[in-house]
Amino acid sequence: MNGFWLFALVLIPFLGALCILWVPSRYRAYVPAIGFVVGMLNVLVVAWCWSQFDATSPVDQFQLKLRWLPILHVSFRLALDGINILFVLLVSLLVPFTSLLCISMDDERLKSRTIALLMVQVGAYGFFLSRDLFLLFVSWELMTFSTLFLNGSWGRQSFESNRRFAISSAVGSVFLGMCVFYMGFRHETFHISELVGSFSVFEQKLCFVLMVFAFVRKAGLFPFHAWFPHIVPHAPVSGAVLIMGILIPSGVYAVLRVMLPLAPAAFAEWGHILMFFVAFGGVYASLLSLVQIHISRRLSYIYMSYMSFSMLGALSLRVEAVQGALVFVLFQCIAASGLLFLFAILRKHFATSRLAELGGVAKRVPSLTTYFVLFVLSLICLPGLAGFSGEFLLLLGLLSYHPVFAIAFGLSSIFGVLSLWELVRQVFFGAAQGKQTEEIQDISRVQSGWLVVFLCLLLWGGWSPHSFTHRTSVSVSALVIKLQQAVKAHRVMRTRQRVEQNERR
Amino acid sequence: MLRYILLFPLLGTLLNGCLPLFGVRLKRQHSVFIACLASVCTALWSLRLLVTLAYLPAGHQVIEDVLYNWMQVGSVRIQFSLYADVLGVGAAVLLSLVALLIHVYSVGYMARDEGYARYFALLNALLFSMMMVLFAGNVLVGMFGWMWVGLCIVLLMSFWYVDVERVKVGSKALALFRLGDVALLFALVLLYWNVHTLDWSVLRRVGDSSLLPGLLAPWLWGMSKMDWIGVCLAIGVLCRTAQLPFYMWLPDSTAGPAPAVAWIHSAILPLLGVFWLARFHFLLKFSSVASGLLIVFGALTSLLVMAIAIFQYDVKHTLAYIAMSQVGLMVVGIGVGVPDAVIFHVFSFVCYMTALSLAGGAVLMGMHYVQDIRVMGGLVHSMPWTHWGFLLAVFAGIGFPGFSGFFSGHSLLWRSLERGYTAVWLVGAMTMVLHAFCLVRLLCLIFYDTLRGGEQLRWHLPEGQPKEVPWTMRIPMYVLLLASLVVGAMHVPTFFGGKALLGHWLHGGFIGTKVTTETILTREFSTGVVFVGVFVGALLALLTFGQGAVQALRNEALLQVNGRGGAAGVFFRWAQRRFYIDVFLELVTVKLLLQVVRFVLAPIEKYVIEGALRLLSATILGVGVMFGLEKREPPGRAISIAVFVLVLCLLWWMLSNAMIVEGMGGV
Repeated sequence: MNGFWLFALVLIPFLGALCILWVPSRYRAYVPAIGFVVGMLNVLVVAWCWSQFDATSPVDQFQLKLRWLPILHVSFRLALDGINILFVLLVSLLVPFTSLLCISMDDERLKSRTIALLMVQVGAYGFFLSRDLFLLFVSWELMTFSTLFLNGSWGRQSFESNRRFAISSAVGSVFLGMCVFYMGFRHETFHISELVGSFSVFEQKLCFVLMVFAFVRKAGLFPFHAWFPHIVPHAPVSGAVLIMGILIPSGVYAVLRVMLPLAPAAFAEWGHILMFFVAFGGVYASLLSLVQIHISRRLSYIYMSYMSFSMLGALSLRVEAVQGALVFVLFQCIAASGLLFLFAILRKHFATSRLAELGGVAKRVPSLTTYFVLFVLSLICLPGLAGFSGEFLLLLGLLSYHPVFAIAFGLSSIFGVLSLWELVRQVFFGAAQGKQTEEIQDISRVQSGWLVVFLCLLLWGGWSPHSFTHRTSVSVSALVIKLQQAVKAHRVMRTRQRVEQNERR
Repeated sequence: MLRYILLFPLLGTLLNGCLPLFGVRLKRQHSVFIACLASVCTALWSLRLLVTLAYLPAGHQVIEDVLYNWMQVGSVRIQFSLYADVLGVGAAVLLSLVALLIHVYSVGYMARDEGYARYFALLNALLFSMMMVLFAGNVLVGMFGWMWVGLCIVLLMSFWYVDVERVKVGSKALALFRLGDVALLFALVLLYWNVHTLDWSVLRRVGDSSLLPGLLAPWLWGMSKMDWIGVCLAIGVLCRTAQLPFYMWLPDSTAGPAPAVAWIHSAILPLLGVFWLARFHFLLKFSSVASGLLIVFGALTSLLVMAIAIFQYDVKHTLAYIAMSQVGLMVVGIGVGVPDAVIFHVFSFVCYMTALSLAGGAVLMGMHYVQDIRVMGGLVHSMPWTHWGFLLAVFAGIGFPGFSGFFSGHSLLWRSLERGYTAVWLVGAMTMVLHAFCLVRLLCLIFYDTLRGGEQLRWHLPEGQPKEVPWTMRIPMYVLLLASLVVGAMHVPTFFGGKALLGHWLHGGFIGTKVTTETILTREFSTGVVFVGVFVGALLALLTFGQGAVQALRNEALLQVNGRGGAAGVFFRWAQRRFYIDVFLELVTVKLLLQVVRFVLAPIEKYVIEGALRLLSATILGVGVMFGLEKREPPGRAISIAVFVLVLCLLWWMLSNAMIVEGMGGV
């Protein structure tokens, strides 16, 4: 009955969303609290799975297989392993946080936003846990659409950026859809592990291009990132947290779970071009962050640079780098979500996010400043907070792949530090600017409570990353070895073909 | 038992730093008590460790303590372990003693500041991170402490955060530290990649292992892996110890509270950087490139910075430059390959330089934070205790016989000469002369003659005369001077042909020197020449600034006008503006980069990458206009809910209708 737990993960938020539909509108104010309770139920389930998870085995655990749409050869397969367990944890932690703190901060459309949030959660669980391409695709769509609805009507300006998000998502979905349906119908199954190794090199190349566009766009990486820095400043904070914390990591996950296993030959041929673009994008984003004048844009560019290097780690097919990428994504997302939330408090009070108009807030709001600085320190990979272990492992893996990538990572981390610390300096330090600064309130107990949870997680990850990595390392090693073998096999085949051609000549 | 040494300062930091987060506001005396207790416990515990080590048999004087598994991924396994040898414990004893004195001194200095809890939390955090560096069992744990030291320095620099200028320097320093840290991380990663461990106990035997030929083989751009590791390491240490290409942060760091600044400049920097280099000595000796880098930049820094220092008028800045120049000499010493002499010099330097900086802080306190030495003078009457402290520290610093500075400075120089580095010796000797000149100049301008401020000081000194500082600030100075004498006394036997106690013992006999007639001659020659030079330098300063300070300052003021004084005037003006090194470096790095980003990358981002999406969006909008859809409001609430419900129903239908339970689990 182990698989039941994963089914419960998907079902609980879905039922929660249905329940909220029937809440009368005069009790609207309590809706985020319901969302929080539902989210916490999921946290409990995930905690149970986390404790029961067998870290020594690389195979899928908590498997669930239900027949679903047999006419399309689709089945409802969920499973948990070392690759997705951290992402599931991330989703479970972010949803109650978003529901309790962020949605209530937006003040309007509480009900529909909470429903959308829970549906994002359904989609995210479906996406991260799925072993079936069709289910993965449907969940992906559900996730994207729910985020779109959550962002919804938020001023004229936001509508434009939300529309851009919608358009680029739609294009990405079309590409992924073509790829998924081609793959599924070609071999009359959508089960990922059955599809592995069943495509010719040409087919793989075709799918590789489609998936690169879909996933790199999803992860907000160069050169398909235009939607990302644009939507974060204008979206409601809940939407921004979901985009940064769930949608973008899902791109990295999809590369590891779908793209590399299904198209290793194409990756062996073209992977280095992709990696070059991703690494360039990382440095590019960190450089651009230096000249941004809005807090949110600066944050999103830095975030983009960190995600680029996580993606690079995943693509490098080194055990350390992949492992580092997983931990890095988890903790950078947590830190960035905390930062976004604190930023939203400032934005709400000052009605601006321009750095030049802010300053000297620290004196008035010491707690907010402390949390902000701590999250920033985690984001810039100070040891003792969680970013460091990921950074070290990534560097180790990237260096053994090629020193240039490691140097790019080092450079962008220097620019990231400069840019983030300048942000902290301009917003919090210096003399107080204007009357508005005098009136700002420090964060409340409830808000502080959840931020402490995040902080404890970051400290836990910093002082003992082993307690996170030991659940994933066996699966990661197994996956990486499999992928390396596939890539190597293709390279050997290519060399042999070339030799034969030469001999014929 | 090793782990408890980290516990005390950590607890102090947490109590002082985190309680305010939960709304508990500590009283001043409680805050002070917690911080001082933490540093007392640390000092006692490190003494205990020293005693424990002394009773262990020679050759096995090591304590190891493995806490837990820090990271384990694939073949990578790094433990959170601690390791104490004589070098680490000796440094820890000195550091915790200085820390204790700084804490006591701070009680008086910060008596009226509101941010006392934050200040003491930061001091304890700095102590904690330093202990982590000194007792790290592997390099990554050391890196942990190393990066925290950087952060604490930055936060102490920006302590008075309401002042924008003080905070601005913090971000510059943090970026420079980060540059060094990235270089160090590269060194670590390269090391791990080749040696498969980062534990000190294993690493120090790399020189004898079978890995050595692989490390020394050419790898990239004609340099071996060992060279690359060494170069990365050298860059990291040069950044952190404020050596030449990366020194910009140090003069700015004087923006913090004086005791913290004194601690950072005179104890943290030399101990941190030199300790780290001495630990890595097993590696640096195989890399001539890295040693060369250290020698060149260290020597350049020590001489150039001294040339800058003798024309400065700010007490804090001058002291910072002096510290930086001496640290430069130590870095050179490591490059030359005399780590034992360097470590001895570090020990003596920490004692007298901290005393000097504390006396400087006392002067500032007495003068109500006026930092310009041009308006000081005659403080010998109003602040006699501080004067004597300062005077003795100057004696120790210029190497007056009997004080530690005499033995350590000279032994550093003659050992370099003995190893054949004549140019290095020359630079070192010139630095020593300038150093003596600078110290005596400072002494004369601050304490002798009469108070020159007059009207300018009325606002700062309502009573007309500076006031002597409280005893909590005097005692630390004198304790440190005493320590300087003791450290010196430990070296007296060497001078009469005996065995060096401190340097050799601390360095575990990495390098021994055979005493031959030739070495004795070298020693005698070097010591004699440098001693005479230092004496002349001091005398020159005394003659110039002793009685005729007003006249000398007037002459200098004339030189500040452009076009005056010929070549000397030009040199004077350039030296006062730090030879424009930092301006130039900032121009070619940060400013250039920002311009490139602004005028190349930002337009690409805006017009090409965002432009493409905008075009797509506009096209779709255009289609909407054609079909008359544009007049409608964006999907309102009703529509969105309707679509949403539809999606829900569809999903529900798919799930319920077509799903046949085939089995749950155990597939």
